[in-house]
Amino acid sequence: MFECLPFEVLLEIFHRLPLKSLIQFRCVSKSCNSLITAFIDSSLTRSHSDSNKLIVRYLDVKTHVERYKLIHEDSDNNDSLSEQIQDLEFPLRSRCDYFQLVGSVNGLFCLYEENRFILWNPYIRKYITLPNPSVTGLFPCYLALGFDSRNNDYKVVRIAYQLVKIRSLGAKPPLVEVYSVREGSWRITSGGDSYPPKITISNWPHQAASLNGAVYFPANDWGEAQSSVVLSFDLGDEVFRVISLPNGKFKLDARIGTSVFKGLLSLICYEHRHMGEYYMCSVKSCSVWVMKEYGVVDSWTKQFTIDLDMQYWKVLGFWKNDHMLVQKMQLHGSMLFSYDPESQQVNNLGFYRSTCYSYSYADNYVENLVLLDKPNDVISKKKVSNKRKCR
Amino acid sequence: MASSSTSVVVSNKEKENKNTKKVTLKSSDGESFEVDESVAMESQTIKHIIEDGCANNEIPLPNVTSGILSRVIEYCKKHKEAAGESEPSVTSYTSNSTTNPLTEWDTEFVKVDQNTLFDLILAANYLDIKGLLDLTCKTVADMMKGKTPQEIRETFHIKNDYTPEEEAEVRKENQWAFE
Repeated sequence: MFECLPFEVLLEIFHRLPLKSLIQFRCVSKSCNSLITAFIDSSLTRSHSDSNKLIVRYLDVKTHVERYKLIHEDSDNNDSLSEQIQDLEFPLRSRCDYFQLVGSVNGLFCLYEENRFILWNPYIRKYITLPNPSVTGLFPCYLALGFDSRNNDYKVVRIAYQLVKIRSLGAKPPLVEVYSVREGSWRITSGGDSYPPKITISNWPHQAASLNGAVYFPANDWGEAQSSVVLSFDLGDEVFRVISLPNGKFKLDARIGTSVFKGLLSLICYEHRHMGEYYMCSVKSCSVWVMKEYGVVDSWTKQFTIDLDMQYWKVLGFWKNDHMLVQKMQLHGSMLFSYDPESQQVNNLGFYRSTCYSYSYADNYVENLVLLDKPNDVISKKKVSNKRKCR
Repeated sequence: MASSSTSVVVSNKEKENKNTKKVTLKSSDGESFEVDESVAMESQTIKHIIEDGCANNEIPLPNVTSGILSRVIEYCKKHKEAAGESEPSVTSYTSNSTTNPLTEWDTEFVKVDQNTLFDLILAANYLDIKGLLDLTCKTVADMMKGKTPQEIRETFHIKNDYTPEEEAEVRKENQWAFE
């Protein structure tokens, strides 16, 4: 009966079913199993940038472990804000307090400690541990999580520098390894061949942005430009490219984070009261720049600047396309609020008790089914049989 | 009609009389149905045919049998009427009712045998009638919810082509969904 329905109609039916029903449906027959696999595949690209839900990661005040909360903003009902915040269970225990966050894309999180990588999908409460990368024991290593739109695949990028003196001539290019969720394995790429000389990725702590099938790192050009730049790595052709920034506006080691604003590549730039300071207490203002036309340096435009007249704040990114998410750090916890640059309205999203002045992370909560068809970690590792990968 | 101080009904009967342009729809088994153009245009597919000026006298619908087409037309008529009876800013429902009266009608409408239901889905998809597609898909989804795989096989007459070993393996891999 179901076979006679066109796929887009099946999608309509499946979208109306709770997750567990969909998975149970796999057990009905082989063709039902294939249908669910196809459905998962088709849902991988769905991203809800207009989602009303936010997932926030922070460090717990007493135990210093990471915690996650889900905030549901109901614009009609600002009174019951406390009911709209719920704790999200985090299934893992880090060997040392908390994992490093590589990033999140479309609801999928990548976490890391020592040489252990985890991909976690909070929506379906599923995580997988990645096999060890082959490149180990080298110097500084930069990580990113991105979505390869051309191949409908989530990828983790690991850039390992082989020598410290990358700024000098003759320095060896980094080794670039990529993990693909589809393949289920790491692969060393020839990315290093296209790595531009005298460029180092910034050490300013921030997650790389993922957009249009590439990941974007804030970086420093120690060559002729002697300024900050954006270094992109395309997940499709696995090539590095440099995106220049407006002349003279961004010195070396500028405090820049890459992000996505209204679907465009953007920069979040902090200006500090005093030169050379890293601490959040000295943040004077923050401006958001947007590359209106991809690849055109002249199209970098300063969208707006915020001067929040308070100490200890950080921009976590953007929500609902263009609302700014700001974390205000206080002694016993943090306050989260969203700022609409157009209406200049500030919306309080709640307070949570967190470790003194620790950075939080926030992203859209997306109902993505990625990892659904991967074997659970609890089951002993065995080869995934081909028949389940019907495509 | 029971009177209620908060209910308002706006009659658009005058509007209806002005616009009684008709169009003929022909089913796959050769039956012709004459309907108001405005009702037929509930279907985006038909709407485009008319707007493109390809309507002529009859619109052939080779993918829809007469039995299904008559039901689809019934759905479109009912929903067009309901839409026509209310102004955008004025509700035509009494404040006492918690359900949209159309919801009850819709529920009765989909109380049909499975073959008819699936044919309605296919017709709604082909004719691009969003409301009908939503309604029929939701009905099927509701039929699936809460049923075990065996119950689903029985309800939808799906043959189990797993061997017992294969079935056990699939079940084990997806055990979390059964808890």
